[in-house]
Amino acid sequence: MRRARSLVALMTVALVACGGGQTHGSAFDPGWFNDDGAAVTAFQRSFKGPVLLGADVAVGVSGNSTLVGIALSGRKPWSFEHALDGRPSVTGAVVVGLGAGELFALDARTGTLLWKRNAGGRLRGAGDDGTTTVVSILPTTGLGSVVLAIDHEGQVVRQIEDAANIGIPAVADGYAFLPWQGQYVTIYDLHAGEEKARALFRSATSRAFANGGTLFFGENGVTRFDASIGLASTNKASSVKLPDRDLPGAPRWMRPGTDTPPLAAAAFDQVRLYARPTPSGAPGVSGGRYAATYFRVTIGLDAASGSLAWAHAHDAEILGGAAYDGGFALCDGKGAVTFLDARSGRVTGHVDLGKPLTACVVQADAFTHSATGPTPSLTEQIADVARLPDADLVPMQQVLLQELAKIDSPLATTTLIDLASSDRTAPALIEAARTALSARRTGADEMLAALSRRYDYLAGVLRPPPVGPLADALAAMKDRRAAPVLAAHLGDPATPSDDVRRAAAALIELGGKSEIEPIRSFFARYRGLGEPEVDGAVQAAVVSCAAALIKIGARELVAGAATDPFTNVALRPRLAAILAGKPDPSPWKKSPGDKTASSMP
Amino acid sequence: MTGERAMRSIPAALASLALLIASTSPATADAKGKGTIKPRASAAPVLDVKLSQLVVAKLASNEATDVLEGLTAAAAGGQIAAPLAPAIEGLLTRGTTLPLAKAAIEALGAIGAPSSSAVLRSYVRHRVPELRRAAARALGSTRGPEALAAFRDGLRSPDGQVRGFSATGLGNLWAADALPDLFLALDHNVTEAASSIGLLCTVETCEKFLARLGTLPLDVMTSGIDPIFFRPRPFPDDKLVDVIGRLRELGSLEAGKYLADVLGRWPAGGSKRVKQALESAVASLPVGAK
Repeated sequence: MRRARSLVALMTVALVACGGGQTHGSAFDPGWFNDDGAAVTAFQRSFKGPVLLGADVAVGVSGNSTLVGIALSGRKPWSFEHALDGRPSVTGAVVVGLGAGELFALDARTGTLLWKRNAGGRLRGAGDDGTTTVVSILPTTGLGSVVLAIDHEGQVVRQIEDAANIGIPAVADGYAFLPWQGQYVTIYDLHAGEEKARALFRSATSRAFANGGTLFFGENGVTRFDASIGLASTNKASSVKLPDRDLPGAPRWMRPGTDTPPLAAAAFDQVRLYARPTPSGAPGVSGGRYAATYFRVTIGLDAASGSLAWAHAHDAEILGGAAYDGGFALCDGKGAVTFLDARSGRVTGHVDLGKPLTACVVQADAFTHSATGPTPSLTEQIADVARLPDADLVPMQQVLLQELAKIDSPLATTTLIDLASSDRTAPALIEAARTALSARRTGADEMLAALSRRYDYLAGVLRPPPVGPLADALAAMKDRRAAPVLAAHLGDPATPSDDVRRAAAALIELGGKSEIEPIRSFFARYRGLGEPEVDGAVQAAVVSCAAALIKIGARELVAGAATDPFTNVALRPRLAAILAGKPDPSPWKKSPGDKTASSMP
Repeated sequence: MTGERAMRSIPAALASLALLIASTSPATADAKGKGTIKPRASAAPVLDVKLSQLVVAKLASNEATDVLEGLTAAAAGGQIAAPLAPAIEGLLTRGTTLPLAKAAIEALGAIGAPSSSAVLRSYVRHRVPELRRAAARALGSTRGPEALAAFRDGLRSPDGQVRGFSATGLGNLWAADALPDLFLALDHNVTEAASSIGLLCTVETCEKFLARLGTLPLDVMTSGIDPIFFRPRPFPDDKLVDVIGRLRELGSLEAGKYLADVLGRWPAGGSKRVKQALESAVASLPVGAK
């Protein structure tokens, strides 16, 4: 059944001096019969292109009416003033904007106005092939779509109005590629005003775009317009998806093309994925790398496994960017566009738009940028990012800490220790660092060095080392060298009680005759105390010290304490159980009253 | 009479009073010098041995009230109760309840035996604030090398009160070699360090302290300047006049009040030149007009 069109209802896009015709074809007929890709395959075979490379530019938005642009190769930035109702679109050789009832196009390289005409609604996106720009607009009614094909002289070649939600189009050689209803791409002959072919996709498809001289369609993943495009309906086309990796903020490669991006960058602009699909050969992404941004942090990931390759911290929050062959161009709120090497994450260069931005769109098609020089190790990169004192970054820093924990290097160990010991580290990150340290089975030398540090008010050491996690790790490694330093920490009131508990537990495994005095001293000073004088963790430490003393050969001390009326009444049966070789009848459980921080005022 | 019966027969108050028998009058000691106060050449009071034994027995009791009585008695005896210190130290070394530990620490502070410093030092690092603070206070009277080391550690403590006690303690122990740490502590807002610096500094190092005039609060500075003014062996007049001049230059009401107070306390036999400088300064400052 042919679908009726609502031309009148959608005429909120007012066009003046149209040069093209109104279309009444069956281009968006949902009753279309699936031809198993026959027509689109035939069209692809006959399609010669060319698909031109787009301009390599960054275009920033400053305020509500200023556009600034710069070539990624680094010329003087251009500026253009026009009211803006939404995010401009950069495609091919043009920048398309919509605001105050005017649709306009600029030369992306120079900022020169190419054309403008009256229009309403909100801009979804555009495609451009160097001669014609195809623009998808959400009408002011908020329903359906208007697609305008306008040549660079400003003449409307074609106007399409339809109830379907048409995403971001591409255009090449007089054909518009129109994604709609999230599953179709209609190939539309702009001159004839009719659908030439249609591809059916089994994954969300709301964007068409040109990259590297090839057309692509997609949203969550990307399908290349090549000889296998007819197999898209059976998921056998040349498609690529990024690994389904759990990252903070759940970044996406591309937003739905039917959305109308707000003028100012939002969270989904700051937290997103960047990858460049390969224009030929096996489907994949360029260089086998993709990038994930999280506000001012970017991480590089392996496109096959999702494993972390590098990490980089920017000076400001990233608002937009693009992947190019060999790297990523990322534009931040200060107006800087930074080029990162895809393999190493090394900064290979910058260009500057010259003013703070509220949004930024980058297109990098033929662009490449390389530089030589030393590259920090992954451990150093993670350490740099993890140490940033920015609460907003904690979720990403936690991810990076998990990665750091997998690295067996002295720097990884010391970074975890530093993070767990620093006043500037966010609490959630401290916990993550402590957990990672506790599970660590390498880096004993660095751990011992850390344990030799103490709280020292005059020296400005205001947080003791993470004694508990280090005790766990060193006990698991059975490193006897830890015994004296752990025993010394028993007597340090700056050591949090939970760390004391864990140090005492480690001393059961590691303690020897030479530790008998500090263990005895702790046992003596705390065996008479109960809650709330000390918390459950300290009492558990007393029990562990008793076990250590028995093991070391000071059983009589514990036996005397177990029957001494001045031993805390709750501890006596626990000591008796330990003496009898039985487990502690009241093993420690964390309770709200327990102190995991220093007991100091 | 057995020790147990004796303990029961001596109420705490009586024991305390008994320990306070600090007579300097000649006593009728028996041949072995037991059972009564034994006069010494210096006529210093000593503890009655029997009473001492009774208190020691109380300290060894399994009853908290007995132990507390013993500790109270020992504390009341002050320095005379020095023979009891080892028993109290043993109590702390073995470990006990919080109230008894606190009473034991206070008793050792009252007795002031240098031997107690070692056990008290370990309690300065106790996790319970009232115990570590009591131990830091007590160390001030036990003195000795262990106390000195404990105070130097205590300056670095996370507990502000322990830092303060330690700074004061170092001054009272005349620990001149701790001056660098005291200056560091002063710069880290351990204000108690000022008075100790004033006690310990030389003409040269006092200058380093006085250089902080105008940057540290005046009450902190005067707590260190006071001991500079009133040294048993006074500083040269020139130095003191210089200090007066610096305070005068502050021109504040507080400085005037302080100098007036110093003038009021200036010893009759003290330097006339310094006194004149004080009078002149006081007259020139707001408070002097009053």
